[in-house]
Amino acid sequence: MKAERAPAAALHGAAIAAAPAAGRGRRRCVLAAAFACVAAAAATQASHAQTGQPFDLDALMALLAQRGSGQARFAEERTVAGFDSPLRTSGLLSFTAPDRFSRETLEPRRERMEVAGNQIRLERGGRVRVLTLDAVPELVALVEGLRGTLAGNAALLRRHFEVRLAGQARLWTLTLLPLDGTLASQVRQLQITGTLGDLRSVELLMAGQQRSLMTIEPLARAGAGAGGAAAAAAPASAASGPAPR
Amino acid sequence: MSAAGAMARGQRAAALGLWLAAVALAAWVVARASYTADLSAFLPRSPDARQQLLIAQLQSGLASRTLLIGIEGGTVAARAEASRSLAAALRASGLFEQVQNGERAAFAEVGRWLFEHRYALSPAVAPGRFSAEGLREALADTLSLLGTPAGAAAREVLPRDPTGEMPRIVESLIPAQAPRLEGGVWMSRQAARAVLLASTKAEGADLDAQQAAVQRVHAAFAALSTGAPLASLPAASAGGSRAGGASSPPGVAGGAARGLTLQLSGPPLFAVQSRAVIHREVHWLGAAGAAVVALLLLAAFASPRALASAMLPVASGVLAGIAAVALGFGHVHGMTLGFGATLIGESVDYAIYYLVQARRGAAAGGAGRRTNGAPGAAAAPGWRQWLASGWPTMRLGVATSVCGFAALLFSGFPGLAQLGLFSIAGLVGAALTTRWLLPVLLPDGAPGTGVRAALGRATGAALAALPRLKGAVLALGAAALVLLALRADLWRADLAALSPLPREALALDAALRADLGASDARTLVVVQGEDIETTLQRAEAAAARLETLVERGQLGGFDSVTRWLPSRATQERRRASLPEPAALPALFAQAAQGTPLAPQAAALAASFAAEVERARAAGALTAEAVAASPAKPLAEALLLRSASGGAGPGRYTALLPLQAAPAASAHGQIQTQTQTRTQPQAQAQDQRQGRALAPPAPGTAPAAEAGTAGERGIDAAAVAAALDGLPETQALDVKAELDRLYQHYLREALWQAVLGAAAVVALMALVLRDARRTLAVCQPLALAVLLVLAGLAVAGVSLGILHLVGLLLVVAVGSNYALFFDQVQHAAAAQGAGAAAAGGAAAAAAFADTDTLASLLLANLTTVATFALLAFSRIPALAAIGSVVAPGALLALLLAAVFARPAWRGAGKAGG
Repeated sequence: MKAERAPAAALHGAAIAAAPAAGRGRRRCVLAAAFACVAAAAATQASHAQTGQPFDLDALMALLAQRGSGQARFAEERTVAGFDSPLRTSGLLSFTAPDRFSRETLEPRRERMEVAGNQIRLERGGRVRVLTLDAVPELVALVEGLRGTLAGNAALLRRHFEVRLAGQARLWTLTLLPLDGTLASQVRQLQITGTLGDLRSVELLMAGQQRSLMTIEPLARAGAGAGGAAAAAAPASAASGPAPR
Repeated sequence: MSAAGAMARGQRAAALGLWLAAVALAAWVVARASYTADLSAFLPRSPDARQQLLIAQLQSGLASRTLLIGIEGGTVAARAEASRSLAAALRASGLFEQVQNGERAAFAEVGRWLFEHRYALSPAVAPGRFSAEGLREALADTLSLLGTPAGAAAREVLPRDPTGEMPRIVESLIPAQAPRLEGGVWMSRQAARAVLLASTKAEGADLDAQQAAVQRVHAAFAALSTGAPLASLPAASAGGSRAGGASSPPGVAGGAARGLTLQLSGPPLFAVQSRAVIHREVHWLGAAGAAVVALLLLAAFASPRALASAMLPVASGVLAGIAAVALGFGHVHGMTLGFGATLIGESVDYAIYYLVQARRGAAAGGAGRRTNGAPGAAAAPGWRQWLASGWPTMRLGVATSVCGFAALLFSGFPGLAQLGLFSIAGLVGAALTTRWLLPVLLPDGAPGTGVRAALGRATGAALAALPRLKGAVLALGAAALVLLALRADLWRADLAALSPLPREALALDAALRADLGASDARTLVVVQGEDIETTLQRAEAAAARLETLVERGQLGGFDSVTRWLPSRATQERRRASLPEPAALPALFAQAAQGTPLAPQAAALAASFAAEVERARAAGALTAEAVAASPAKPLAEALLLRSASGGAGPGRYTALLPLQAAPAASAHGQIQTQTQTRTQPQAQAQDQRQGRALAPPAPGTAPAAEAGTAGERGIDAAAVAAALDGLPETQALDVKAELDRLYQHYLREALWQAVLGAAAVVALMALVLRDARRTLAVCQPLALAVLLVLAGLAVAGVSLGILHLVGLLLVVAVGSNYALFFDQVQHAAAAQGAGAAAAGGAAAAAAFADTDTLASLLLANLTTVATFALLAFSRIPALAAIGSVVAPGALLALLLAAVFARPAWRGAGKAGG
C-alpha cells in the first residue's frame, strides 16, 4: 500500500529536475545565500589562543576548530557586468552550532535564508519555501566546504576544493578552488580571509566577471563599525537570535 | 456391479444425460470466462466516494504505472554513468512516458515551456504587480539575484524577464523533499545506489504492457555491461521475449561486469510478479492437491476405477465453481482458482463416503449385518443402502458448509466473495454428482480394499483412546482462552497482509521511495468539481490556504496542478494585470529610480513591452494545450477525470500531495557515505551505513530510517482546519484512510464470520432437533477454533481478515466431522438399546466397522492435506487461510472423537 507515494515522487523528481533547467537563477540564488550563511558562521567565532608553531593549514584548522554560536553583521558588494556601480546589501549573519546558519538581509530589502541540516528555508516578500540541500550538489560543495572551514576539518575541504593557504595567523587567506566541474563553471574560487579564528571577509569570484565581496564584523565586537545600515538593527536582533546549544 | 438393473434404465440415462449437459454447459462458460490476476480482488469495494477515489488511484493512477529503479554497487561514477545510459535507453524505447533520474537536461523542454508561458503561470502576476510600486518590488527581487552564483542566468534573461516571473514560478515548484543529486543523477542517501523513476505509457492495468516494460528495463540494464549500443536494442526482442513468463530475474548478470546490480520495484512490477505467482500457484496447488488426493485414494481403494470415479465429483465441482464465479462476477480471479485446490480435498470426501458406504451396504446385503437400511434390503444394491444411511448426513454436511461459505458472499472484498461463491457452487456440484452420477457408475461402491482395513483399525483404536484426553483438552482450551484474553493485539495485520508480495519486496520498495524523497507523500488534499474550471478554482482556493501553513512552517510544501494549469479565471486576472506598453517607459523609470537599474530603465521597458505584447497575444492555457506540452505528465498526475458512472458528485478531481515540514532538529543528514566526518557524527553515521549497506533482513523496512531528514509528519487536523469551509475539498491521509478501511472490513468480516458460524449451528440444531446433540456437535468446533487461535498467537502470527475467514471455514468444514460422529453415535444409541437383548454385541460391531472409520479418516486427511498445501502457498491470502483451516480441520475431527458421548465410548471400548 505504498503505491500512493509514486505520483508525488514523480512530481517531486520532475519539479526538482525542472527547477534548475527552468531557472538556474533560483538555484544559484540559494547557493549564494547559503554560502553567505556559512561564511557568517565562520565569522562569528570567538578568538583563540595563539600558538607558537609554524602557521600551516593544520594550524589554521586547529584555530578554526574552536568555534561556537554567534552573530555578525555583514556588508556585501557585488560587481555585475553591465552595472556601473556595485550592488550593495547588508544585514545579519547567525550561526548556531552545529549546523544552523542564517543570513538576514536588511538592506535594501528584507530577506531571510536559513540552512539547517539538509534543509534550506527561504523567506522573501512574505513567501516561504523549504527545500532539500543535497538535491543541489553545487550547494552541497559550498556548504560543506564552509562547514569544513568552520569545523576546522581540512579533509572535508579537500573533498570539494583544492585548498591553498597564505599569510600568517594574524592575517591569513584561505583560497578554495572547486573540484566539481559544474560548480567550477559558476564559481571560480572562494577566498576567505581572517585573523586567528575569526573570519574577516569572504570573496566569491564567479563566471562572467562577477564578483562578490562580503566583509564581516562579529557582533561580539560591536562598535568596530563596518555594518553601516545594519548597525542599528543588529543589537536587537542579536538579543533575540537563536540561543547557543 | 451386477445390480445395475436395480436402477431404471431411463433413470440412469437421465442422470447421465443431465450430468453431461451440465458439465458441457459449465465447460463452455469456463472456456469463455475471463481470468484476472491483479490485486484488485483484495482491495475492498467501498461505498465511500473518497475511498473509491483512493482505490482508483491505487489501481490506475500514475503510481500504478511507475517503476522504481535502483542501480546498486560500484563507484559513484559507474552508477551515475549506468543511470544515464539506462535512462537514455528507456527513453529511446518508446515504452515510457517519462524516465527521470535527476538529469537536469531532461527537463530543459519543460523549462522552456514554463518560460514561454510565464505571464500566465507566475503566481506573482496579479493586480498591482506592474504598478510603479509593484515593479519596484519585482526589480528588487531581480537585483537580489544579480552578482550571486545565480547572477549569470539572471543577467542573461534580464531584458526579457526583468520582473523575475520565471524565478517565481520555479520557486513555487521547488519541492520540500527531493532526492539527493550526485554525479548529476539521483543517488540514495542511505546506500550506494542510483535511483530512477520510469512511468509507462501503458495503463497500469495492462499487465502485458507492464511486463514488457519490466523486461525492457532488465534488457537495457543487461546491455550496459555487454557494452552493446543501447539504442540499437530492438524493441520487439525485449518486449515479447518472456511474455506470459514468470517474474523477472534480478538483473545481477547485467551490471556484474561493472559491479552493479539492478533493483526494481513499484506497482507495475508487483502486478506482473503477482500475476506470475498466481499463475504458478494455481498450477502448483491444483497439481499437488490432485496428486495428494489421488495417492490417498489409491492407498485406500487400490483401484484405478475407484480413483477415476472419485475424481468425477471433484472435477464436476471445480467446473461448477468456476462457471458460477464467471457468471456471477464476469471474471475469475486467479486466487480463486488457487483456493479451488482446497475444493478437491473437500469434495473428494463425498466420493469417499459414497464409495465406502455403498460398498459396505452391498457387502452386508447377504450377511445381514446392517439393519438400519431399508427393510428387506438384503438384495438391494449398495447405493440404495447409502441413500438411506449415508446421504442424509452428507446432505446436512453440505448444507452446513454452504452456510459457512455463504457468509463470504457478503464480504466487502470481491476476492473473498468469489471464494465463497466458488466453494458453494463447487460443493453443491460435487454433492449432486455424487448423489446422482456415482450410483449410475458404481452402484455398489468401490472395488478393492487397499490399506483401508488397517487404516480403519488404527483409527478405531485411536478413537477409543481419545476420549481419555477430555480433561487435558479442556484444560488446554482454558489455557488458550486465558492466553487469548491476555493478547489484545492479536488482530494487528493490516491491508498489506492481503498483498501477495513478499515482505522483502515491500522493504526494497520503501527504501527506494525514501531515496526519492517520497517517503512522506501520503497525505493528499483532494478537490473535486463538476467541470474542470470549477475544480481548478477550488484547487487554487485550497492552495492559497495551504500556502499559509507553509509560511507558518506547519507544512513543507505541496504540489498543485494549478501551477501548470491555472483556472481560466486566474489566467484572465493575470492577463488583465499586464501593463499597457505605452505606460511602461514612465513606470520603469519611476520604479528603477535610485536603484542600480536606473541607467537601463528605458532599455528594459522597451524589451519588456515586447514580451508583454507577446503574452497578451497568446491565448489562454487550456487543459488540451498542457496535455500537448512537455508538462503533460506533471500536470496529468495531479488532475484526474473520473470515468463516467463514478460515484460522488465530482467529475474532475485535483490532487494536492502534501510534504511534511522538516523537523526542527534535522541535521547530520547531509553527509554522504565516503566523506570525512566530524567526530560526533561519525559513529552514528557508521551505524546507519552498516545497516543501510547490509542486505535488509526479511520483514524489516529500511525506510524507517531512510527519511530525507527528520520529518515532523503532517498535522492532519491543522490541514483540515485550514481547509474548513472550502467546497468539495478534503484532506486525505492515505495510510490512515487505508487503515480505517481495513478496520472497517475487519469488523464487517467479524460479523460475517459470527453470522456464518451461527447459521451453521442453527442449521444443525434444526436438523438434529436435540439441544444435547447440538451442543455435543458444537463443543469440538468451538474448541478447535479456540486452539487454532491460541496456536497462531503463540506462533506470533498477526491475524487479519483472512485468518478470520479461515476460522469460519474450520466451523463449516469441521461441522461435517462432528455431524458424522453424531450420526454414528445416534445410530449406536438406538441400536444399542434395540440390541440389548442380543447382548450388545451388535452395537460394538457397528462401531468397529473399519470401513466407516477409514472413510472418516480419509475424508479428513484429504481436506487437511489440501489446506496444508494452501498454507505453503506464496500468496499470503491463501497461506493465511490454509494455515488456519489445515490444523483446524484436523483438530475438529480429533476433538469430535474426544467429546464423543458415553454411548460411543462404551461401544468403542467394547469394540477394542
